[in-house]
Amino acid sequence: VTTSSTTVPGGDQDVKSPPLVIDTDIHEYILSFDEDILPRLEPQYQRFARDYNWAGKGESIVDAMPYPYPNSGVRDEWLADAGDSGFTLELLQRHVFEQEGVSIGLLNGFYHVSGMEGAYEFAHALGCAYNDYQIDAYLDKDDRLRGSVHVVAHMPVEAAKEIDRVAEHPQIVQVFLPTVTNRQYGDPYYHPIYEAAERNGLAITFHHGTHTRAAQFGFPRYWSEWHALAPVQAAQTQLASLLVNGVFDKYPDLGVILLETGVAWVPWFMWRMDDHYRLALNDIPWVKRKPSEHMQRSVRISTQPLSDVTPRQFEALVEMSDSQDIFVFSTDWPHFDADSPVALMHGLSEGLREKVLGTNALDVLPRLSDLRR
Amino acid sequence: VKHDLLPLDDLPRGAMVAVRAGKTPVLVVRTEDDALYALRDVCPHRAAPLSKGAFFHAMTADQPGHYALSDAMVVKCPWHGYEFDVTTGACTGDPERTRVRVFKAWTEGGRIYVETK
Repeated sequence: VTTSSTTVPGGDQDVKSPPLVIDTDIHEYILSFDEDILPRLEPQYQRFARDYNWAGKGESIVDAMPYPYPNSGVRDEWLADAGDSGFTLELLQRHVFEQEGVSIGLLNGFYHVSGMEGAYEFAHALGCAYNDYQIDAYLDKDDRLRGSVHVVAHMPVEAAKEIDRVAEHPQIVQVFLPTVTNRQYGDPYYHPIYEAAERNGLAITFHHGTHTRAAQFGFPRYWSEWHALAPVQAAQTQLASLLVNGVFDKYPDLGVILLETGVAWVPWFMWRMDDHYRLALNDIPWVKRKPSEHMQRSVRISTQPLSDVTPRQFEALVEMSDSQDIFVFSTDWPHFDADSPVALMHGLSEGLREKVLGTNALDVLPRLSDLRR
Repeated sequence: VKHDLLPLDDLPRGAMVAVRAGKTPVLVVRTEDDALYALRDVCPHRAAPLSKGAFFHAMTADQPGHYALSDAMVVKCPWHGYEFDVTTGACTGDPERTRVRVFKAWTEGGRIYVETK
């Protein structure tokens, strides 16, 4: 889908300035572990990676997921464009900014160092190296990109130090955590991460990865079960954990973004959590707002994959759950189930379109406040 | 409309009692420090009689796990556990949107009265 800078997604009229389109989920790649990560590791960890038969030297961190994908995992024409060069910065710029009309893109990568279940010091070193790579290879080369701090949640004090270090770069806007199910992110053990994020004006962004298990089965027998349920279940359990453990009460200026879980579960989740708040506030009396109020204020959820939800259904869903502030746009470039802002927003009312495409994200990303018009 | 309900001595401190004020079911509570409050004895959620529930101090906490009993008194619905502040009728978990009607209650000549519209 192609758009020009004078076309409003979903509209026909010409306007003077292009719409603000914030893509909250772009996956940048490393092209070569030996070139991109290895030189950025301290010598002792270079030895871990080089000499100790470590299996994690692919484009993502050690892969725990057993499934073959039903396809390549990325959109076919984008894969064809990548050819032998891979998913380079130039390709990202062409696909996301030129073809999709995105204004600002948030990088989330694939490098889920928090997904490593052990070797935490090494994982932390890899995360630091990856953060430096992201800045060198992406942020410093395109001021339309914004980046994440990748941290190891198991080491919250070191994670906080890394957040302080990397946040000095002005294009860093968030801290990335994978939605794993073997830890409860609301636990006070992890609060130093949120404290560091809040003091630096960063959001916390969650995205599933190859370490994300379904809530009940771990890894179910087939990819279809895993892909349909695991990311959403993991996001729900972590969001509930943050809510009931009072993270949003303790850190009122902290924003949280949940990526790639779709939209239809959100009303059910809000209603169910509010219902339990009413009937069991004595269980969690430190939570001072209804879960839905915390979500409207502090949580944003990306629309992708919107799947077969029509604009009319989406409008109805937003209206019945009073969630016009909650949803944000993302492409999920370059994955096969990516959404386009043009296709996605056709048929939405202008007010909701503007919010979802751009301004809702600004509410939880203080470092993007200068984009507010 | 003023309703003469019952002798004050029939309602010990810290207790509640279900009565009728005309056709209106009313729950009267008397706190330990001898304040009287009256609420409609019907939960706004699923219409359960609040008088079948409990009357006690609300739970509070300033951080996770640090439970304490607050000074605020609540009535707890016997069905789903919704709790209502006896002074305002507001549901503690949804004070803006869920509340039970409250009535003015007082004593006069050793008897408890409420006023309904």
